[in-house]
Amino acid sequence: MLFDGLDLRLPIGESAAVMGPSGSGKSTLISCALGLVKPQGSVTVADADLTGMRRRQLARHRSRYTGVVFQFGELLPELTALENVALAALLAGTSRKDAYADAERLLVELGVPRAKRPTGTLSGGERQRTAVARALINKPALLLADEPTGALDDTNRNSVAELLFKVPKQWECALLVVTHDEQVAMRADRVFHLADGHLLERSGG
Amino acid sequence: MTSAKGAPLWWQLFRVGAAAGRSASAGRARFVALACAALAVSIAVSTFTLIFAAYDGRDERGADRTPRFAQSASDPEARALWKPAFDEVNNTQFSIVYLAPLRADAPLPPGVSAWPEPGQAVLSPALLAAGRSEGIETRYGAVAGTIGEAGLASPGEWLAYVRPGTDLVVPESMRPVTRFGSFASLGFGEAMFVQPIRLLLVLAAFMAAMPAAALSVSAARAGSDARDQRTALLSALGGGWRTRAVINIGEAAVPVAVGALAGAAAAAMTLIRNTHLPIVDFTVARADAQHWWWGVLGAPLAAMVLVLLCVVLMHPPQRRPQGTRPRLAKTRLPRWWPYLCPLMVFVAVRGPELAPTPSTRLLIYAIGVGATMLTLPSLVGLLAAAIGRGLAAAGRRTGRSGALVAGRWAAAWPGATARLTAGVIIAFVLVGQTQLWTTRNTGPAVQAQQTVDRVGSSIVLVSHPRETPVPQGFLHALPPGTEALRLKIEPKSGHAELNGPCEALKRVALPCSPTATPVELRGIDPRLGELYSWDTPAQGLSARQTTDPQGPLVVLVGQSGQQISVPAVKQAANAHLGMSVTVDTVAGSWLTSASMQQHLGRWTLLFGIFAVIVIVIAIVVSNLAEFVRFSRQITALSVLSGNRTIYLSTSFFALFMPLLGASLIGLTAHYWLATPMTSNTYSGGSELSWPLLAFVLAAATALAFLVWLWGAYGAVRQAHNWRPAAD
Repeated sequence: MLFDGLDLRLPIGESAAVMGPSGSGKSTLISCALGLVKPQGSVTVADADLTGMRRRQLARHRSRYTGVVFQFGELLPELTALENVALAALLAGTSRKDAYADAERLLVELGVPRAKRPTGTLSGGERQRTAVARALINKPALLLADEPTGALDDTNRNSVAELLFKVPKQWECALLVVTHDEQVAMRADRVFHLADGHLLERSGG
Repeated sequence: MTSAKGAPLWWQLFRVGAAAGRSASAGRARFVALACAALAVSIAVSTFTLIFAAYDGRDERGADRTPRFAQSASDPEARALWKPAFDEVNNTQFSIVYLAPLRADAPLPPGVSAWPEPGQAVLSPALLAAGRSEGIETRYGAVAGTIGEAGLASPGEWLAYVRPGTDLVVPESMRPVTRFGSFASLGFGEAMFVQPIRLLLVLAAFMAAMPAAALSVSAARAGSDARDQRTALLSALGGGWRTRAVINIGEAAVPVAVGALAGAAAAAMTLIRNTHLPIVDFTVARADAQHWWWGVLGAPLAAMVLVLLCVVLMHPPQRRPQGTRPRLAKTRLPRWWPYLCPLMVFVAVRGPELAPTPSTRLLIYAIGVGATMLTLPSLVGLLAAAIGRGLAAAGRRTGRSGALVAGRWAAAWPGATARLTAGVIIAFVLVGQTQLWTTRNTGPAVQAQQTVDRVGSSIVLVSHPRETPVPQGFLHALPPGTEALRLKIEPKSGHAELNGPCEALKRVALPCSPTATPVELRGIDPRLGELYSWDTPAQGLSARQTTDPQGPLVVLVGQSGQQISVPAVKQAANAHLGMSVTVDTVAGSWLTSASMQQHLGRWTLLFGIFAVIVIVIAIVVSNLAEFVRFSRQITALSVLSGNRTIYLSTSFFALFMPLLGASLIGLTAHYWLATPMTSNTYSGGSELSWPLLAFVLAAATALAFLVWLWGAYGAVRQAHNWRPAAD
């Protein structure tokens, strides 16, 4: 049993960071929030329980309400930053015009000026900002970030973390960050430690 | 060396490899590829064995049926008379042997159980089946039975033992025989019409072994990025080549074993029953395969070892890459290289016209075709990049995400598309060229075909061995309405004379006069025109009416434009004229020799088709693996957006469209490159086989469809198992 009596509520506009050693189940926690792993109990996102959903329903719900930022961005290097972001909207069924307009606006707001260059040529920080933009384009209720600064140098780490933790207030969503990095975690409204299957909130976080 | 748990280390490493194979991203494509490779290698090795087995068996049975000759017919040891000759069915030549017993205890050749009656024949089953349409069952008299396999070079051999009617036996033209069975084969029958063994071995090496080796390499390297990483890791951990080899073998063992098993099943079939090869219409005798059973059954084992060896050798120690950015290949072709391609197509298509001699024409053509094939991939690469950019732009304009992603990918990595497309185009052209070269006729054969097209069998020539009257029995046995003339050629002047009764002369619009009348060649009956140009020295022709025609060639003519049944004439000739009488249409023998050449050429076609299938599998496999690697990039996105159709659309643009496009380009390229071969520029006579091309196009489309769905399915399956894993 990986988790035992795990309980976490995250309202809109609030951020939480989960820390823990490797293998403690941080990524599994993200998988639970995405509905890819179905634990005993319930996982509720935007007032709907994921554990009882069928695959199709779950996929629709996930695309409508959840966004994810990965450690390595998981962007397509051949596509431009703009296309990478717009692609997520297109795949979720947004019209072409709206998808590109929203993507362009988001990238400007998030500070990716070279949005029309292939993503493979961007810096690590720019790539991760693009990843954040992509996660936000479908206006998710829950934004998940899996080691979002793990592959960045110090300067980029700070700027991406700053950007990320502004998101809940600015875009009206909840943010759950899984990280090793104490300095990143400290920016969250609440900080948890995942150890032995238990989630312990650090007081004064 | 054993571990704490007791299992030997190599076994644990082997199992690590096997587990890695199951979970690898391009695992299924590689599984199928390795299995196909093992099967292909097994077939290639079996082919070598069966070639030796078939030639060995043919020699052995050839020796068994070779007669021991006596000095003369009066030799007390002489017990039978023997005479080999030729005949043909469907323009295909075969051996017939005339036999006549001298004594009651006359020996029989192997495969023949009893002496046929005079005027009867014993035929091989394949000849009996193939010659039905030409009346083979009555051509030499009644069929008394069939020749057993022990008496045939191969089960599909065409052979006839004919016992002529008593009055037709001419002992002085036959050789006395004491018994059958010699140390070496005399080489009549099938042995006279087959390729020399070295040629088949060369074909097998180039068109079976080499493509199978290419497939093995491609399969071994499919989805190699993850394994290269593992190899580097193992090296860093201190694992030697043995460790790496055992893991790699463990990963490949199951698919290779599956392929080898399929190969073993195919090999076993050759031991159980006679194996008929399509296209070349050759049957491998079960007995021959059984004689070489160790080679036949060893082939799949050898294939297994060879493919596994290839897997090990294809994963050399990796140097850790410097940096993470993809680097450009070090060796690059010059910028102008792709643009040579259209020029080379031009050289191949138009060049031969400019050459002065046939051999230079051939050389220019071969250089043109070869250079086109060499330069094509880079041109396709350029086009792929351009089309990729266009596709991406269109995808962006229309909001089609599949077109956008596939277009950007093709533009960024044109090499992948070029390999896929160029490979298929080259395969297409190869099949086409093989077919063209095998149907290539030399000049006289082309003219012969034209003659046959014009007059066919409305005029039939029968050689009459002696300057004696044609027996009335023969004339009566001819199809109704057939008239006979005889052709005589003055040896010194080369002047030809057609003589015969007035009825016959009138049939071909010749004057009836008892004195030789020169014939005006202008406006002559077309049948005579062809006869004049093919069977006389063209030194003038005259006609003479006579009741006692003379000349070594009996010319049979039907009523105007009516075709005479050649099989019926042959039957009449065999019954009344004697042994080995030649019956032919005008120019027909030229066609027979061309047809025999084509028959040999079909071996090239058979091997060519095998080669192309194997090469296409190799190309498709490496591209499927590449596609799965590429589609891994969109996995996270597609899972999060709940959109799986993107795989169907990217696979459509990345695999289906290039494959289908390649087939169409290949067809066009082939059509163009074939122009000099099909026109009379080069030597003429090759025929574009539209059914073959249609079949190849249909197969390519079906393959494209399969690859499209396979690619999409592989990617969807990968997405299904995806989990975020930054831990």
